[in-house]
Amino acid sequence: MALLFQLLVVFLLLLVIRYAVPQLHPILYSALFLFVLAYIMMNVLIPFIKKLRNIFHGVPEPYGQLLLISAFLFFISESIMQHLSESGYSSLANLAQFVVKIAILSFWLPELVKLIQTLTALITP
Amino acid sequence: MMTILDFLQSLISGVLYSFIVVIIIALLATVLNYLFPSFSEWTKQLLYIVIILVVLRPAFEQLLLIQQLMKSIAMLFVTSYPVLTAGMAISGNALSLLNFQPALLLFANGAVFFADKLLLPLVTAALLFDIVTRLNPLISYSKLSDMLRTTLLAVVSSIVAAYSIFITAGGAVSWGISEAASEPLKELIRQNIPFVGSFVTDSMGTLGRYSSGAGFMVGGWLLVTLWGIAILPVVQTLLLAFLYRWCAALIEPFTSSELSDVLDDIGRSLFVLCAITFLMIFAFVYTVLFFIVYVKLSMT
Repeated sequence: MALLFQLLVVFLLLLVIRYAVPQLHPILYSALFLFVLAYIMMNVLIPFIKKLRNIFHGVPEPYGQLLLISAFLFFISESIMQHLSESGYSSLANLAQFVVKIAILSFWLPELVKLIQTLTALITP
Repeated sequence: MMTILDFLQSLISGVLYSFIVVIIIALLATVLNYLFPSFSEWTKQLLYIVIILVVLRPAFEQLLLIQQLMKSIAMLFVTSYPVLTAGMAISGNALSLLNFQPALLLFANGAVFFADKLLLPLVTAALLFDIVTRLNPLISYSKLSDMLRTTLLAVVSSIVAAYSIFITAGGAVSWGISEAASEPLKELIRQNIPFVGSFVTDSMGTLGRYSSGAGFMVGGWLLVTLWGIAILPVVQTLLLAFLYRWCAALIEPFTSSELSDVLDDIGRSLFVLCAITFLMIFAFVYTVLFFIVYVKLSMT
């Protein structure tokens, strides 16, 4: 709940900045956004994901962690992408999303190889 | 008996573990979908990969095991049948004792060969079609795999019918337990095991008819042991198939319909695999009984 209040404070601060120094608003907005994102990640998201990993420790070893980490990465890329396209750089946003997709897929590549091996073992005589 | 129980227990616990894993993974996916709705498309695909790797592994291993068994038994038949047939023909009185029909040996061998070369690859194809269908729902092979399964069951049941015609036409051997006692039991099995139930009872009847005739030569306990060993792969496959279908029923509320559907379809394919295994078991028991009788006759 404290976080919600802090977010509101950030919002008010941004409004003040927009009124006082409109020229500096975009850069301060980006800086504040990154700062808040890092803050939320450190204080909320990462502990929560660790807790989830502990709860779901019954999932066999690499898979649960992989799912959580990919979802986490996807969320971060999504929020950065949204910020970039809000500032009018949608081509950059597209690139950011693409890079994160490649990263997630490269995490899963060994499992994909295992899948292909399992399926081909069935049809090799 | 204890070893059989241990074996069954280890089988069930291994399979149960992977099914509990499915349910936990499904819950995790629900939480992820709630937290990151835009990730839900990914979750579905990744979950599917995990399910294939973790949960379907017992099914794949069972299929590979049956393939290997089938290959080695076909090899055993090819090498042993000439010797066996020649020995039976020389000792002569075996023919009158057991209503020995060389055609039946040929038929059993042919059935195993057929199963190895055609039926098993078709079951594998049905299984792979199911997986591909769920992997990419736009290209659906579900009707094809359904048709493959029904065709396979029809082929297997016609082979079993041919077996029973062969054996009853001989007429020398009769079903040991009285019909009145066994009929309700058969009906119970037929009602409760989907797809293969009637097939199981039919072939049980056929085999019972045959082995009760051989009983006085071989000895009851030996027959029970032989059956116990031979029937294990069938029981294993049947249990696995049931566990898959139960699991599909259990996870249906939690996950997307694709996951429960694929587990259900794999269960059905395993029922067909069980029917095919029965063919192999039948031929195997028949051959071993002949071996025993032949050895006994040549010793006296």
